[in-house]
Amino acid sequence: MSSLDLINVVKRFGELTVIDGVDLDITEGEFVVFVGPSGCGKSTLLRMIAGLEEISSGELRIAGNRMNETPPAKRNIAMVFQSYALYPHMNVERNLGFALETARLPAAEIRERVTKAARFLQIDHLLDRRPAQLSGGQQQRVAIGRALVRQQKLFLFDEPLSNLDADLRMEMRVEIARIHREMKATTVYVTHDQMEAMTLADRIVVLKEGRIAQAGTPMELYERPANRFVASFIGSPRMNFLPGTLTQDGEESVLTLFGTPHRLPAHDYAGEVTVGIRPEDLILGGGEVTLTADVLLVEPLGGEALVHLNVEDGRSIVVKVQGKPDIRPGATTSVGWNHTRANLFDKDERALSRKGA
Amino acid sequence: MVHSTTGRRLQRIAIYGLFAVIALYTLFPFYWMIASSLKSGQAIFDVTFLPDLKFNNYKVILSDGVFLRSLLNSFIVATSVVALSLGLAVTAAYALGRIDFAGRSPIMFLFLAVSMFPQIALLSGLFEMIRWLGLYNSLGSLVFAYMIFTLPFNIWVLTTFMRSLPRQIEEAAIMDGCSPLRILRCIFLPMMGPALISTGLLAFIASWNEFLFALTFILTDENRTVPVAIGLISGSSRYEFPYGAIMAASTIVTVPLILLALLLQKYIVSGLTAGAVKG
Ligand SMILES: Nc1ncnc2c1ncn2[C@@H]1O[C@H](COP(=O)(O)OP(=O)(O)O)[C@@H](O)[C@H]1O
Ligand SMILES: [Mg+2]
Repeated sequence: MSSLDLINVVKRFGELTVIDGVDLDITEGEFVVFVGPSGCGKSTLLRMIAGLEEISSGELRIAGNRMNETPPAKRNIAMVFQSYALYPHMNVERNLGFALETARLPAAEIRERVTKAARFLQIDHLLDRRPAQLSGGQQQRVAIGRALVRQQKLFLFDEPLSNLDADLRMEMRVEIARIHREMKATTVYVTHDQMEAMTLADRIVVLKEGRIAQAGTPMELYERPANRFVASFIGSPRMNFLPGTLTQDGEESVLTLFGTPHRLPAHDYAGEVTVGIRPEDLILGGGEVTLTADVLLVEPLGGEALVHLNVEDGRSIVVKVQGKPDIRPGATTSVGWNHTRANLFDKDERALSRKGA
Repeated sequence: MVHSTTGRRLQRIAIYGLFAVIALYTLFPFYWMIASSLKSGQAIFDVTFLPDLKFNNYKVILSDGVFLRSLLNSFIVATSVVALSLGLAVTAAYALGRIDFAGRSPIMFLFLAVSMFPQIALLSGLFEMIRWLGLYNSLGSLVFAYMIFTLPFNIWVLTTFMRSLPRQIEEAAIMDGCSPLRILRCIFLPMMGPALISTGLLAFIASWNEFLFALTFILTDENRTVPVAIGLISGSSRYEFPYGAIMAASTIVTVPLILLALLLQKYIVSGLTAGAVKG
């Protein structure tokens, strides 16, 4: 296990700044997930940790030691690539043992470690095969195994599951969680899938355009997103957003939505705001703040259903309800929410906090 | 479905017909060469399509010291060209395919341009260089000259191939602690096997068959290579032209190439298409 510190880390490709001052402390044994839309710099940041990209400025420390100039192989890092990157001309056994072979470990020890990792990942019956003779899920296991045998203190994963189909992805997610539980190695995991991030992470780091939009536990990000970007990125289906204005009225604030004022607990802010409410926090026919809406579409998902509504102004919102709602497209209904479940964002898209909160 | 089965049968007949025409067109000269080499004396001037199965011509040619010497010379030249041009091309391809530096594309373009010059255009310039290097009338002159056209082609093909190898595999090897040399040796070279075999074979064939340079840069019989040696085979009098012996020599020269190509055909195809198809 190793701690990992990023101190004001910057990456430039020529004129283009891809990572723009990232500060992050990762503690020993922590499972940190970098998440964000495609092109936000997740892979670049991970590759800088690995040593595959140079750090333009700032400092990288592993276990407290500066690593900027240390070559990748000397950083005690194991990495799993998105494309698995197995050596196509070697069988599984040799793929697993290649790093140890390179490090000139005795053959007996290589054999022992390879066997152990293969058994742990349930690929011990595949040791003689070439990568081309394996399914995607098996290749993924070999790729993970190759990282495991090195017994490193720090694991990096770059979108390891994105080439798998949905079922396998779920299975491997559970597998990766199990590996982390048993190995307790510090892990940095990159994905663009917020669901993977929510289920795996001790801490999620949301990246946007090379900066940290927010870092926190999955529940912190879900419950108290720091800005509209994080609010819309975390959670599925996406949070609903409605435009409004906030004014002060003595000890209270007044939120005006589509011309109708609603009384709220006091906020320190007045002006244009965006109200964000998660689909699962909306209540059909109830709530402290209510709007009237037309039903557009009902999508039953079995145990729950998504109801698409058209509120005033032609804006559509999505409500998640338990069971099958007794409601039909074309009907008019009311939809609402309770104050504590609403997120307010100022015109710079930062989350507003309640007075005294 | 009577209509569609007859349609398909016609289609198949057409395909086989076309195949037969192409086979005849490409294979007939070879057949004629072998058939002629097996006739003896004046029989060669009769137009018969069945060979006599007389091996006189082979006896004559295989007891000709100059011809045997030229076979050995050709073999030495061709294998040296293959070894040298592959060795240089692999290292150049690693640099051109994997390392970013300014002027990479102009260099690649230059290689392509160089490999397009007709041989005759290079002849006098090369001749000067070879004289200046003191290689005139030695096998070294041919190795030197053949590299001029095998090397750019090999570099070009191997660079394209190297670029098509997934970068993440190289990075995985870096993370596994490999030095650049170990990556080249243990990862890239085995993965490039098919490309090496096909470019190597093409270089071998080109050197084996080359005539113009071999005629120009070699003066004496003991340094001749096979194509020129065959061209200079002459009869016992100026009125006799030894077609039979020439055909037998040509057959002997062609056989190693055909064997080599058959032996390696599996790799040749995958090597030449690998740059185009992602695997
Ligand atoms: N070698 C490079 N040269 C120039 N730009 C690059 C290079 N690598 C990545 N980028 C740019 O950096 C940005 C972030 O890339 P990346 O880290 O791969 O994003 P992500 O993994 O989050 O999808 C992208 O805009 C990409 O085009
Ligand atoms: Mg990426």
